[in-house]
Amino acid sequence: MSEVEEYQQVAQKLDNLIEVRQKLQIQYNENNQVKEEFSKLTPNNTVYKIIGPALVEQSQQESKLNVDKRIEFIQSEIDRTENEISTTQQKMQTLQQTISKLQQAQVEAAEKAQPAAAA
Amino acid sequence: MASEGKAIDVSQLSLQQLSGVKKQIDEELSHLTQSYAQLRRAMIQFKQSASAVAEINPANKEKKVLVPLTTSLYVPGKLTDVENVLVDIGTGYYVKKTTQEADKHYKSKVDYVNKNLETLQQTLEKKQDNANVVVQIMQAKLSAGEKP
Repeated sequence: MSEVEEYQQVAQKLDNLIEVRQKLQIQYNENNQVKEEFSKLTPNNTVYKIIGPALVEQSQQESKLNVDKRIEFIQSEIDRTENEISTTQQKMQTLQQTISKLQQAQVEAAEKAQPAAAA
Repeated sequence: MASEGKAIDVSQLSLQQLSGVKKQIDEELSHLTQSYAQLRRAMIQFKQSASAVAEINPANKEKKVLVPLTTSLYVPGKLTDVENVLVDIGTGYYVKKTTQEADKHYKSKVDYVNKNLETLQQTLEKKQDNANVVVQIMQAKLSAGEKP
């Protein structure tokens, strides 16, 4: 029944991937909100970034670029995870088919064995 | 009326399938309720921030305050700048805003969260209706099954 074990492993992997996907989405949303805030800045709005326990002044330009780059990175991570999710789902499907075939074969074998045992 | 169409659909299901559906709806309900509570907390925080900003006004200039360094340690301070505040806008970024800007910022956040709360409330009610329909059908099937 190694197929069943493999199936469980793949299902576990899919769960993990979906969790990763959700976390990425949260990061993506938060960064987009920051981007939106940045778009509303006036020259008077000094930007600070928290580094460890300290607030450090940042240039608006640099901060905007930084957030844009982060969004780009997260987007590529999202795409990568999406791809992995769909290949994992496909793998699960093929495994499911193999398992149900095996189960059917087992049932048929049992039916065949029945009259022999009765005789 | 979409739920009615769904109800007709569910009435064809077996008891076992129905309890599966019920379980799934319950899980969705508890997830949505959790999100609702989280959003409520977020809104309360934004409201608190807005009312704190309102206290930073010229009338309170030079007044003594106690500044929390940790949750259990305070040091005395004096309110010198009553025009500007630093607002956390997420992912570790803070922006210096005038009190008017900060007030606007928090109020728009409250509005935004409120809107989400309303849609979530509607979704919750619909889900609750769905759950009730499923329970009703289950009960109907059970009592029908008891009779010969």
